[in-house]
Amino acid sequence: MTRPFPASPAVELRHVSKRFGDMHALRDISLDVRPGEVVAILGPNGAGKTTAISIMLGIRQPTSGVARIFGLEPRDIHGRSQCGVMLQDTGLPWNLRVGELVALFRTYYPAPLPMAEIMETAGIANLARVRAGDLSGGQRQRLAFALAICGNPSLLFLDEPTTGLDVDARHGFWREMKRRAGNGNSIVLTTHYMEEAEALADRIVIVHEGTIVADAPADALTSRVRGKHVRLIVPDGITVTAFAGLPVDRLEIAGTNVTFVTARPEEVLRALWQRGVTYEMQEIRGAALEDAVSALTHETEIDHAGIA
Amino acid sequence: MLALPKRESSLAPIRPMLARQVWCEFLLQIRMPMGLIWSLIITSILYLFLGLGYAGQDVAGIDGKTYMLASFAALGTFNTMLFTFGGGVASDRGARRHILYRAMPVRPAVLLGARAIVACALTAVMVGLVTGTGIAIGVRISPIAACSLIARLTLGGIPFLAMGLMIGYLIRPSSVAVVFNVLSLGFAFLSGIYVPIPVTDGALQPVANLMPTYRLAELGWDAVGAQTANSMFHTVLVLVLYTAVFTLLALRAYQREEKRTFE
Repeated sequence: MTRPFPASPAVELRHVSKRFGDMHALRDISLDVRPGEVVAILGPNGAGKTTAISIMLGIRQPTSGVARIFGLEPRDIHGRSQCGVMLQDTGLPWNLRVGELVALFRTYYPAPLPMAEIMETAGIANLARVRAGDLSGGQRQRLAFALAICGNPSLLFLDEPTTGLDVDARHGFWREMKRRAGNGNSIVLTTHYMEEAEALADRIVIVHEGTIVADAPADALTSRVRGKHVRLIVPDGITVTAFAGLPVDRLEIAGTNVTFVTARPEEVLRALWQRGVTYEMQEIRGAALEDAVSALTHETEIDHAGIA
Repeated sequence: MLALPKRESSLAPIRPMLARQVWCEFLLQIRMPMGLIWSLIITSILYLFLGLGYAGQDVAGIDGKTYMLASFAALGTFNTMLFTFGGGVASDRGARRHILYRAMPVRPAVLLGARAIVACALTAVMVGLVTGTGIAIGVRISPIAACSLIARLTLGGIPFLAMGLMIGYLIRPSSVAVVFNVLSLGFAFLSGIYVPIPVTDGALQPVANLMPTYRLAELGWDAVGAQTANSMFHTVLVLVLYTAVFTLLALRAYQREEKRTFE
Protein backbone atom coordinates (compact mmCIF):
# COMPACT_ATOMS: atom_id res chain seq x y z
CA MET A 1 0.00 0.00 0.00
CA THR A 2 1.30 3.47 -0.81
CA ARG A 3 1.91 5.61 2.23
CA PRO A 4 0.55 9.12 1.62
CA PHE A 5 2.87 10.96 4.02
CA PRO A 6 6.13 9.00 4.08
CA ALA A 7 8.21 11.84 5.53
CA SER A 8 6.42 11.78 8.89
CA PRO A 9 6.42 9.37 11.80
CA ALA A 10 3.15 7.51 12.12
CA VAL A 11 2.49 9.07 15.54
CA GLU A 12 4.12 12.01 17.28
CA LEU A 13 3.27 13.33 20.73
CA ARG A 14 5.29 16.33 21.88
CA HIS A 15 5.02 17.48 25.50
CA VAL A 16 1.37 16.50 25.63
CA SER A 17 -0.56 17.19 28.82
CA LYS A 18 -4.22 16.64 29.43
CA ARG A 19 -6.28 17.86 32.36
CA PHE A 20 -9.87 17.08 33.20
CA GLY A 21 -10.72 19.82 35.69
CA ASP A 22 -8.21 19.39 38.52
CA MET A 23 -7.22 15.89 37.44
CA HIS A 24 -4.02 15.51 35.40
CA ALA A 25 -4.63 12.57 33.07
CA LEU A 26 -1.35 13.11 31.17
CA ARG A 27 1.70 15.13 32.20
CA ASP A 28 4.10 16.28 29.50
CA ILE A 29 4.44 13.04 27.56
CA SER A 30 6.42 12.75 24.32
CA LEU A 31 6.33 9.70 22.09
CA ASP A 32 7.11 8.73 18.48
CA VAL A 33 5.88 5.66 16.65
CA ARG A 34 7.81 5.00 13.47
CA PRO A 35 6.53 3.21 10.36
CA GLY A 36 6.46 -0.55 10.86
CA GLU A 37 6.86 -0.26 14.62
CA VAL A 38 4.63 -2.00 17.15
CA VAL A 39 4.33 -0.11 20.42
CA ALA A 40 2.49 -1.44 23.45
CA ILE A 41 1.30 1.04 26.04
CA LEU A 42 1.07 -0.58 29.45
CA GLY A 43 0.20 0.64 32.90
CA PRO A 44 -2.29 0.24 35.69
CA ASN A 45 -5.96 1.19 35.30
CA GLY A 46 -6.38 4.96 35.21
CA ALA A 47 -2.72 5.49 34.27
CA GLY A 48 -3.61 7.55 31.19
CA LYS A 49 -3.30 4.91 28.44
CA THR A 50 -6.75 5.44 26.95
CA THR A 51 -6.42 9.23 27.21
CA ALA A 52 -3.14 9.03 25.29
CA ILE A 53 -4.76 6.94 22.55
CA SER A 54 -7.80 9.27 22.49
CA ILE A 55 -5.47 12.21 21.83
CA MET A 56 -3.63 10.32 19.09
CA LEU A 57 -6.99 9.59 17.47
CA GLY A 58 -8.28 13.16 17.75
CA ILE A 59 -11.13 12.06 20.03
CA ARG A 60 -9.67 14.32 22.74
CA GLN A 61 -7.65 17.53 22.41
CA PRO A 62 -4.48 17.94 24.47
CA THR A 63 -4.59 20.72 27.08
CA SER A 64 -1.06 21.58 25.96
CA GLY A 65 1.48 20.08 23.59
CA VAL A 66 1.17 18.76 20.07
CA ALA A 67 -0.16 15.52 18.63
CA ARG A 68 0.37 14.49 15.01
CA ILE A 69 -0.63 11.51 12.87
CA PHE A 70 1.54 11.24 9.74
CA GLY A 71 2.49 14.87 10.37
CA LEU A 72 -1.14 16.01 10.40
CA GLU A 73 -3.59 17.10 13.08
CA PRO A 74 -5.22 13.90 14.41
CA ARG A 75 -8.62 15.33 13.41
CA ASP A 76 -7.51 15.75 9.79
CA ILE A 77 -9.51 13.26 7.76
CA HIS A 78 -6.52 12.60 5.48
CA GLY A 79 -4.54 11.19 8.39
CA ARG A 80 -7.54 9.31 9.79
CA SER A 81 -8.04 7.63 6.41
CA GLN A 82 -4.77 5.79 7.09
CA CYS A 83 -5.79 4.66 10.58
CA GLY A 84 -7.72 1.64 11.78
CA VAL A 85 -9.27 1.78 15.21
CA MET A 86 -10.45 -0.75 17.77
CA LEU A 87 -11.76 0.98 20.88
CA GLN A 88 -13.20 -0.22 24.14
CA ASP A 89 -16.70 0.74 25.22
CA THR A 90 -18.01 2.09 21.96
CA GLY A 91 -21.15 0.73 20.37
CA LEU A 92 -21.99 -0.27 16.84
CA PRO A 93 -25.33 -0.23 15.02
CA TRP A 94 -26.19 -3.60 16.50
CA ASN A 95 -29.19 -4.18 14.20
CA LEU A 96 -26.91 -4.44 11.18
CA ARG A 97 -25.51 -7.78 10.14
CA VAL A 98 -21.78 -8.48 10.36
CA GLY A 99 -21.35 -8.43 6.57
CA GLU A 100 -23.33 -5.20 6.26
CA LEU A 101 -21.18 -3.49 8.87
CA VAL A 102 -17.92 -4.54 7.25
CA ALA A 103 -19.22 -3.43 3.83
CA LEU A 104 -20.24 -0.07 5.33
CA PHE A 105 -16.93 0.58 7.08
CA ARG A 106 -14.99 -0.37 3.92
CA THR A 107 -16.57 2.61 2.16
CA TYR A 108 -14.96 5.00 4.70
CA TYR A 109 -11.46 4.16 3.38
CA PRO A 110 -9.78 5.01 0.08
CA ALA A 111 -8.20 1.60 -0.54
CA PRO A 112 -9.99 -1.04 1.53
CA LEU A 113 -9.09 -4.72 1.65
CA PRO A 114 -11.30 -7.12 -0.31
CA MET A 115 -14.38 -8.15 1.66
CA ALA A 116 -13.50 -11.88 1.67
CA GLU A 117 -9.99 -11.18 2.95
CA ILE A 118 -11.28 -9.09 5.85
CA MET A 119 -13.84 -11.69 6.88
CA GLU A 120 -11.29 -14.50 6.61
CA THR A 121 -8.53 -12.65 8.47
CA ALA A 122 -10.82 -11.68 11.35
CA GLY A 123 -12.31 -15.19 11.52
CA ILE A 124 -15.87 -14.03 10.92
CA ALA A 125 -16.49 -15.45 7.43
CA ASN A 126 -19.23 -17.72 8.82
CA LEU A 127 -20.92 -14.85 10.70
CA ALA A 128 -21.65 -12.56 7.75
CA ARG A 129 -25.43 -12.88 8.08
CA VAL A 130 -25.57 -12.73 11.87
CA ARG A 131 -26.78 -9.49 13.45
CA ALA A 132 -24.00 -7.75 15.35
CA GLY A 133 -26.21 -7.58 18.44
CA ASP A 134 -26.48 -11.40 18.50
CA LEU A 135 -22.71 -11.98 18.63
CA SER A 136 -20.90 -13.29 21.70
CA GLY A 137 -18.27 -11.13 23.41
CA GLY A 138 -15.38 -12.81 21.58
CA GLN A 139 -17.19 -12.59 18.24
CA ARG A 140 -17.80 -8.87 18.80
CA GLN A 141 -14.07 -8.43 19.40
CA ARG A 142 -13.37 -10.17 16.11
CA LEU A 143 -15.90 -7.95 14.34
CA ALA A 144 -14.27 -4.87 15.88
CA PHE A 145 -10.93 -6.15 14.63
CA ALA A 146 -12.39 -6.66 11.14
CA LEU A 147 -13.63 -3.05 11.16
CA ALA A 148 -10.20 -1.85 12.31
CA ILE A 149 -8.31 -3.57 9.49
CA CYS A 150 -10.91 -3.23 6.72
CA GLY A 151 -9.35 -0.03 5.37
CA ASN A 152 -5.92 -1.69 5.11
CA PRO A 153 -4.57 1.06 7.39
CA SER A 154 -0.92 2.06 7.74
CA LEU A 155 -1.51 2.68 11.45
CA LEU A 156 -3.64 0.58 13.78
CA PHE A 157 -4.85 1.65 17.23
CA LEU A 158 -5.94 -1.30 19.32
CA ASP A 159 -7.27 -0.72 22.82
CA GLU A 160 -7.38 -4.05 24.69
CA PRO A 161 -7.84 -5.94 21.41
CA THR A 162 -7.86 -9.53 22.67
CA THR A 163 -10.03 -9.18 25.76
CA GLY A 164 -12.63 -11.93 25.58
CA LEU A 165 -10.85 -13.92 22.86
CA ASP A 166 -10.01 -17.59 23.37
CA VAL A 167 -6.38 -18.75 23.12
CA ASP A 168 -6.61 -19.84 19.46
CA ALA A 169 -8.25 -16.59 18.41
CA ARG A 170 -5.65 -14.61 20.37
CA HIS A 171 -2.77 -16.41 18.69
CA GLY A 172 -4.42 -15.92 15.29
CA PHE A 173 -4.69 -12.23 16.10
CA TRP A 174 -0.99 -12.09 17.03
CA ARG A 175 -0.04 -13.75 13.73
CA GLU A 176 -2.01 -11.16 11.81
CA MET A 177 -0.46 -8.31 13.79
CA LYS A 178 3.05 -9.61 13.09
CA ARG A 179 2.21 -9.97 9.42
CA ARG A 180 0.90 -6.39 9.26
CA ALA A 181 3.92 -5.01 11.10
CA GLY A 182 6.17 -7.00 8.74
CA ASN A 183 4.50 -5.18 5.86
CA GLY A 184 5.57 -1.82 7.30
CA ASN A 185 2.36 -0.93 9.16
CA SER A 186 2.57 0.66 12.59
CA ILE A 187 0.54 -0.58 15.54
CA VAL A 188 -0.20 1.09 18.86
CA LEU A 189 -1.88 -1.20 21.36
CA THR A 190 -2.84 -1.28 24.99
CA THR A 191 -3.24 -4.59 26.72
CA HIS A 192 -3.41 -6.20 30.13
CA TYR A 193 -1.81 -9.38 28.76
CA MET A 194 1.94 -9.05 29.28
CA GLU A 195 2.72 -12.04 27.06
CA GLU A 196 0.82 -10.25 24.30
CA ALA A 197 2.93 -7.14 24.68
CA GLU A 198 6.11 -9.25 24.77
CA ALA A 199 5.06 -11.27 21.73
CA LEU A 200 4.07 -8.29 19.58
CA ALA A 201 5.73 -5.07 20.62
CA ASP A 202 9.06 -3.69 19.47
CA ARG A 203 8.79 -1.15 22.28
CA ILE A 204 6.95 -1.09 25.57
CA VAL A 205 5.81 2.28 26.88
CA ILE A 206 4.86 2.18 30.54
CA VAL A 207 2.50 4.93 31.63
CA HIS A 208 1.89 5.63 35.29
CA GLU A 209 -0.04 8.51 36.82
CA GLY A 210 -0.05 10.33 33.48
CA THR A 211 3.68 10.15 32.79
CA ILE A 212 5.85 7.80 30.74
CA VAL A 213 8.05 5.99 33.26
CA ALA A 214 9.73 3.71 30.71
CA ASP A 215 10.01 3.41 26.94
CA ALA A 216 12.19 0.51 25.81
CA PRO A 217 12.10 -2.99 24.27
CA ALA A 218 10.68 -5.67 26.57
CA ASP A 219 14.04 -7.40 27.19
CA ALA A 220 15.66 -4.08 28.14
CA LEU A 221 12.89 -3.52 30.68
CA THR A 222 13.08 -7.00 32.21
CA SER A 223 16.86 -6.79 32.48
CA ARG A 224 16.42 -3.74 34.75
CA VAL A 225 14.63 -5.90 37.31
CA ARG A 226 17.20 -7.85 39.23
CA GLY A 227 14.96 -10.11 41.26
CA LYS A 228 14.21 -13.79 40.65
CA HIS A 229 10.86 -15.47 41.12
CA VAL A 230 11.02 -18.38 43.54
CA ARG A 231 8.26 -20.94 44.02
CA LEU A 232 8.43 -23.55 46.79
CA ILE A 233 6.23 -26.18 48.34
CA VAL A 234 6.49 -26.39 52.13
CA PRO A 235 4.70 -29.63 53.12
CA ASP A 236 4.62 -28.76 56.85
CA GLY A 237 3.36 -25.23 56.28
CA ILE A 238 5.09 -21.94 56.95
CA THR A 239 4.32 -18.48 58.33
CA VAL A 240 5.60 -15.05 57.42
CA THR A 241 7.81 -14.97 60.50
CA ALA A 242 10.09 -17.60 58.91
CA PHE A 243 11.12 -14.91 56.42
CA ALA A 244 11.93 -12.31 59.07
CA GLY A 245 14.99 -10.30 58.07
CA LEU A 246 15.35 -12.00 54.68
CA PRO A 247 15.58 -9.95 51.44
CA VAL A 248 12.27 -11.03 49.89
CA ASP A 249 9.54 -9.08 48.18
CA ARG A 250 5.94 -9.89 47.20
CA LEU A 251 5.80 -12.90 49.50
CA GLU A 252 2.66 -15.01 49.05
CA ILE A 253 1.75 -18.02 51.14
CA ALA A 254 -1.22 -20.09 49.98
CA GLY A 255 -1.41 -23.33 52.00
CA THR A 256 1.79 -25.22 51.23
CA ASN A 257 2.57 -23.06 48.18
CA VAL A 258 5.00 -20.21 48.71
CA THR A 259 6.15 -17.64 46.15
CA PHE A 260 8.39 -14.61 46.52
CA VAL A 261 10.79 -12.41 44.57
CA THR A 262 14.36 -11.92 45.70
CA ALA A 263 17.60 -10.60 44.30
CA ARG A 264 19.54 -13.18 46.41
CA PRO A 265 17.73 -16.54 46.09
CA GLU A 266 20.64 -18.71 47.30
CA GLU A 267 20.95 -16.69 50.53
CA VAL A 268 17.19 -16.85 51.22
CA LEU A 269 16.93 -20.59 50.54
CA ARG A 270 19.98 -21.32 52.72
CA ALA A 271 18.55 -19.23 55.56
CA LEU A 272 15.19 -21.02 55.38
CA TRP A 273 16.98 -24.41 55.53
CA GLN A 274 19.00 -23.25 58.53
CA ARG A 275 15.76 -22.14 60.23
CA GLY A 276 14.46 -25.71 59.93
CA VAL A 277 12.07 -25.15 57.06
CA THR A 278 11.75 -28.22 54.86
CA TYR A 279 10.78 -27.32 51.31
CA GLU A 280 10.59 -28.74 47.80
CA MET A 281 12.04 -26.44 45.18
CA GLN A 282 9.55 -25.84 42.34
CA GLU A 283 10.92 -22.99 40.25
CA ILE A 284 13.46 -20.18 40.10
CA ARG A 285 13.07 -17.91 37.10
CA GLY A 286 14.15 -14.46 35.96
CA ALA A 287 11.93 -11.41 36.02
CA ALA A 288 9.07 -11.20 33.54
CA LEU A 289 7.66 -8.09 31.91
CA GLU A 290 4.92 -8.04 34.53
CA ASP A 291 7.60 -7.70 37.23
CA ALA A 292 9.23 -4.89 35.29
CA VAL A 293 5.93 -3.03 34.96
CA SER A 294 5.17 -3.60 38.62
CA ALA A 295 8.65 -2.53 39.71
CA LEU A 296 8.70 0.59 37.52
CA THR A 297 5.27 1.81 38.60
CA HIS A 298 6.12 0.98 42.22
CA GLU A 299 9.35 2.98 41.98
CA THR A 300 7.38 5.95 40.69
CA GLU A 301 5.02 5.74 43.62
CA ILE A 302 7.98 5.70 46.02
CA ASP A 303 9.54 8.69 44.19
CA HIS A 304 6.28 10.60 44.43
CA ALA A 305 5.93 9.74 48.10
CA GLY A 306 9.52 10.91 48.67
CA ILE A 307 8.86 14.21 46.90
CA ALA A 308 5.68 14.75 48.90
CA MET B 1 7.79 18.05 10.60
CA LEU B 2 7.14 18.46 6.90
CA ALA B 3 4.22 16.48 5.53
CA LEU B 4 3.52 15.97 1.88
CA PRO B 5 0.61 17.97 0.45
CA LYS B 6 -2.84 16.50 0.95
CA ARG B 7 -4.13 14.50 -1.97
CA GLU B 8 -7.77 13.80 -2.67
CA SER B 9 -6.86 10.21 -3.57
CA SER B 10 -6.03 9.66 0.10
CA LEU B 11 -9.75 10.01 0.89
CA ALA B 12 -12.57 7.57 0.17
CA PRO B 13 -15.01 8.66 -2.55
CA ILE B 14 -18.15 10.26 -1.12
CA ARG B 15 -20.86 8.79 -3.34
CA PRO B 16 -20.41 5.08 -2.54
CA MET B 17 -19.95 6.01 1.13
CA LEU B 18 -23.20 8.00 1.19
CA ALA B 19 -25.10 5.33 -0.79
CA ARG B 20 -24.00 2.57 1.62
CA GLN B 21 -24.73 4.76 4.64
CA VAL B 22 -28.25 5.48 3.35
CA TRP B 23 -28.85 1.77 2.75
CA CYS B 24 -27.67 0.90 6.27
CA GLU B 25 -29.80 3.66 7.81
CA PHE B 26 -32.76 2.28 5.91
CA LEU B 27 -32.01 -1.26 7.16
CA LEU B 28 -31.75 0.05 10.72
CA GLN B 29 -35.14 1.72 10.39
CA ILE B 30 -36.92 -1.33 8.99
CA ARG B 31 -35.35 -3.50 11.69
CA MET B 32 -36.72 -1.30 14.47
CA PRO B 33 -40.33 -2.46 14.33
CA MET B 34 -41.72 0.18 16.67
CA GLY B 35 -39.95 2.98 14.83
CA LEU B 36 -41.28 1.88 11.49
CA ILE B 37 -44.82 1.24 12.77
CA TRP B 38 -44.84 4.69 14.29
CA SER B 39 -43.57 6.30 11.13
CA LEU B 40 -45.61 4.52 8.53
CA ILE B 41 -48.74 2.98 9.99
CA ILE B 42 -49.70 4.73 13.21
CA THR B 43 -50.37 7.99 11.40
CA SER B 44 -52.92 6.27 9.14
CA ILE B 45 -54.50 4.52 12.13
CA LEU B 46 -54.71 7.82 14.05
CA TYR B 47 -56.33 9.41 11.02
CA LEU B 48 -58.93 6.64 10.82
CA PHE B 49 -59.73 6.83 14.54
CA LEU B 50 -59.55 10.56 15.19
CA GLY B 51 -59.84 12.24 11.82
CA LEU B 52 -63.08 10.87 10.49
CA GLY B 53 -65.25 12.60 13.08
CA TYR B 54 -65.40 15.56 10.72
CA ALA B 55 -66.40 13.53 7.63
CA GLY B 56 -69.17 15.24 5.68
CA GLN B 57 -68.65 18.50 7.56
CA ASP B 58 -67.30 21.58 5.80
CA VAL B 59 -63.91 22.54 7.23
CA ALA B 60 -62.13 25.52 5.64
CA GLY B 61 -64.09 25.06 2.43
CA ILE B 62 -63.47 21.31 1.91
CA ASP B 63 -64.82 18.01 3.28
CA GLY B 64 -63.66 17.44 6.86
CA LYS B 65 -62.10 14.03 6.13
CA THR B 66 -59.92 15.59 3.37
CA TYR B 67 -58.92 18.42 5.72
CA MET B 68 -58.05 15.94 8.48
CA LEU B 69 -56.06 13.83 6.03
CA ALA B 70 -53.69 16.77 5.50
CA SER B 71 -53.69 17.50 9.27
CA PHE B 72 -52.62 13.97 10.24
CA ALA B 73 -50.13 13.74 7.36
CA ALA B 74 -48.50 16.88 8.79
CA LEU B 75 -48.44 15.37 12.28
CA GLY B 76 -46.91 12.19 10.86
CA THR B 77 -44.26 14.29 9.12
CA PHE B 78 -43.37 16.00 12.39
CA ASN B 79 -43.10 12.64 14.17
CA THR B 80 -41.16 10.85 11.42
CA MET B 81 -38.61 13.61 10.98
CA LEU B 82 -38.11 14.05 14.70
CA PHE B 83 -37.95 10.36 15.64
CA THR B 84 -35.89 9.16 12.67
CA PHE B 85 -33.36 11.97 12.67
CA GLY B 86 -33.22 13.31 16.22
CA GLY B 87 -33.78 9.85 17.67
CA GLY B 88 -30.83 8.56 15.64
CA VAL B 89 -28.52 11.31 16.89
CA ALA B 90 -29.55 10.65 20.49
CA SER B 91 -29.17 6.91 20.04
CA ASP B 92 -25.62 7.36 18.70
CA ARG B 93 -24.76 9.41 21.78
CA GLY B 94 -26.37 6.92 24.14
CA ALA B 95 -24.51 3.95 22.64
CA ARG B 96 -21.26 5.96 22.32
CA ARG B 97 -21.20 5.32 18.59
CA HIS B 98 -20.40 8.99 18.05
CA ILE B 99 -16.99 8.38 19.63
CA LEU B 100 -16.19 5.58 17.20
CA TYR B 101 -17.40 7.65 14.24
CA ARG B 102 -15.15 10.48 15.41
CA ALA B 103 -12.12 8.21 15.05
CA MET B 104 -13.27 6.96 11.63
CA PRO B 105 -12.54 8.75 8.36
CA VAL B 106 -16.24 9.37 7.75
CA ARG B 107 -17.48 12.92 7.39
CA PRO B 108 -20.26 14.02 9.78
CA ALA B 109 -22.11 15.34 6.69
CA VAL B 110 -22.33 11.78 5.35
CA LEU B 111 -23.71 10.40 8.61
CA LEU B 112 -26.24 13.21 9.01
CA GLY B 113 -27.03 13.42 5.30
CA ALA B 114 -27.81 9.70 5.08
CA ARG B 115 -30.10 9.93 8.07
CA ALA B 116 -31.84 13.00 6.62
CA ILE B 117 -32.37 11.25 3.28
CA VAL B 118 -33.93 8.23 5.01
CA ALA B 119 -36.11 10.49 7.20
CA CYS B 120 -37.39 12.33 4.11
CA ALA B 121 -37.98 9.07 2.21
CA LEU B 122 -39.92 7.57 5.14
CA THR B 123 -41.92 10.79 5.42
CA ALA B 124 -42.85 10.63 1.74
CA VAL B 125 -43.94 6.99 2.12
CA MET B 126 -45.91 7.80 5.28
CA VAL B 127 -47.76 10.72 3.61
CA GLY B 128 -48.43 8.45 0.63
CA LEU B 129 -49.89 5.79 2.94
CA VAL B 130 -52.16 8.28 4.73
CA THR B 131 -53.28 9.61 1.36
CA GLY B 132 -53.96 6.07 0.14
CA THR B 133 -55.91 5.37 3.33
CA GLY B 134 -57.99 8.52 2.70
CA ILE B 135 -58.67 7.56 -0.91
CA ALA B 136 -59.72 4.07 0.25
CA ILE B 137 -62.37 5.57 2.53
CA GLY B 138 -63.69 7.97 -0.09
CA VAL B 139 -61.54 11.09 0.05
CA ARG B 140 -61.52 12.72 -3.37
CA ILE B 141 -58.09 14.02 -4.18
CA SER B 142 -56.52 14.45 -7.60
CA PRO B 143 -53.18 12.74 -8.36
CA ILE B 144 -51.58 16.17 -8.69
CA ALA B 145 -52.91 17.25 -5.27
CA ALA B 146 -51.71 13.96 -3.76
CA CYS B 147 -48.22 14.41 -5.23
CA SER B 148 -48.21 18.04 -4.13
CA LEU B 149 -49.16 16.98 -0.58
CA ILE B 150 -46.31 14.46 -0.44
CA ALA B 151 -43.75 16.89 -1.85
CA ARG B 152 -44.82 19.87 0.26
CA LEU B 153 -44.86 17.97 3.54
CA THR B 154 -41.56 16.23 2.85
CA LEU B 155 -39.84 19.54 2.09
CA GLY B 156 -41.82 21.40 4.74
CA GLY B 157 -40.62 18.82 7.29
CA ILE B 158 -37.00 19.96 6.97
CA PRO B 159 -37.25 22.37 9.96
CA PHE B 160 -38.02 19.31 12.09
CA LEU B 161 -34.78 17.65 11.01
CA ALA B 162 -33.00 20.65 12.51
CA MET B 163 -35.26 20.50 15.58
CA GLY B 164 -34.52 16.77 15.97
CA LEU B 165 -30.80 17.46 15.68
CA MET B 166 -31.06 20.12 18.37
CA ILE B 167 -32.99 17.87 20.76
CA GLY B 168 -30.79 14.88 19.93
CA TYR B 169 -27.76 16.82 21.18
CA LEU B 170 -29.46 18.65 24.06
CA ILE B 171 -31.44 15.98 25.87
CA ARG B 172 -30.14 12.94 27.71
CA PRO B 173 -30.42 10.02 25.24
CA SER B 174 -32.61 8.01 27.60
CA SER B 175 -35.13 10.88 27.85
CA VAL B 176 -35.41 11.66 24.16
CA ALA B 177 -38.39 9.39 23.38
CA VAL B 178 -40.44 10.92 26.20
CA VAL B 179 -39.55 14.46 25.11
CA PHE B 180 -40.50 13.69 21.50
CA ASN B 181 -43.87 12.24 22.54
CA VAL B 182 -44.70 15.20 24.78
CA LEU B 183 -43.69 17.63 22.03
CA SER B 184 -45.76 15.71 19.48
CA LEU B 185 -48.88 15.86 21.66
CA GLY B 186 -48.39 19.51 22.60
CA PHE B 187 -47.58 20.74 19.11
CA ALA B 188 -50.48 18.78 17.61
CA PHE B 189 -52.95 20.25 20.10
CA LEU B 190 -51.71 23.83 19.72
CA SER B 191 -51.67 23.52 15.93
CA GLY B 192 -55.27 22.37 15.61
CA ILE B 193 -54.37 18.91 14.33
CA TYR B 194 -56.88 17.00 16.48
CA VAL B 195 -59.57 19.74 16.51
CA PRO B 196 -59.52 21.92 13.38
CA ILE B 197 -59.30 25.60 14.28
CA PRO B 198 -61.85 26.62 11.59
CA VAL B 199 -64.59 24.69 13.45
CA THR B 200 -63.75 26.37 16.79
CA ASP B 201 -64.19 29.97 17.88
CA GLY B 202 -60.61 30.57 16.67
CA ALA B 203 -59.21 31.35 20.11
CA LEU B 204 -56.21 29.16 19.35
CA GLN B 205 -55.41 30.87 16.05
CA PRO B 206 -52.84 33.43 17.36
CA VAL B 207 -50.93 30.67 19.15
CA ALA B 208 -51.22 28.30 16.19
CA ASN B 209 -49.74 30.92 13.86
CA LEU B 210 -46.54 30.69 15.90
CA MET B 211 -46.31 26.89 15.75
CA PRO B 212 -44.06 25.34 13.08
CA THR B 213 -46.38 22.33 12.93
CA TYR B 214 -49.34 24.61 12.12
CA ARG B 215 -47.34 26.17 9.30
CA LEU B 216 -46.41 22.71 8.04
CA ALA B 217 -50.06 21.67 8.14
CA GLU B 218 -51.01 24.81 6.23
CA LEU B 219 -48.80 23.60 3.36
CA GLY B 220 -50.84 20.38 3.40
CA TRP B 221 -54.24 22.05 3.73
CA ASP B 222 -53.42 24.32 0.80
CA ALA B 223 -52.32 21.30 -1.27
CA VAL B 224 -55.74 19.61 -0.81
CA GLY B 225 -57.70 22.79 -1.57
CA ALA B 226 -58.56 24.11 1.90
CA GLN B 227 -58.56 27.82 2.77
CA THR B 228 -55.68 28.80 5.00
CA ALA B 229 -55.32 31.58 7.54
CA ASN B 230 -51.96 32.70 6.14
CA SER B 231 -50.55 33.10 2.64
CA MET B 232 -48.23 30.32 1.45
CA PHE B 233 -45.45 32.87 1.02
CA HIS B 234 -45.76 33.86 4.68
CA THR B 235 -45.98 30.24 5.79
CA VAL B 236 -42.88 29.18 3.83
CA LEU B 237 -41.03 32.20 5.23
CA VAL B 238 -41.91 31.19 8.79
CA LEU B 239 -40.76 27.60 8.14
CA VAL B 240 -37.47 28.87 6.69
CA LEU B 241 -37.02 31.05 9.79
CA TYR B 242 -37.71 28.09 12.04
CA THR B 243 -35.15 26.04 10.09
CA ALA B 244 -32.56 28.76 10.62
CA VAL B 245 -33.32 29.08 14.34
CA PHE B 246 -33.34 25.31 14.97
CA THR B 247 -30.13 24.90 12.96
CA LEU B 248 -28.46 27.62 14.99
CA LEU B 249 -29.60 26.05 18.25
CA ALA B 250 -28.54 22.60 16.99
CA LEU B 251 -25.07 24.00 16.24
CA ARG B 252 -24.83 25.43 19.75
CA ALA B 253 -25.95 22.12 21.23
CA TYR B 254 -23.42 20.32 19.04
CA GLN B 255 -20.65 22.65 20.24
CA ARG B 256 -21.66 22.03 23.84
CA GLU B 257 -21.53 18.27 23.25
CA GLU B 258 -18.21 18.71 21.44
CA LYS B 259 -16.75 20.52 24.44
CA ARG B 260 -18.05 17.95 26.90
CA THR B 261 -17.09 14.78 25.04
CA PHE B 262 -14.24 15.67 22.72
CA GLU B 263 -12.11 18.30 24.47
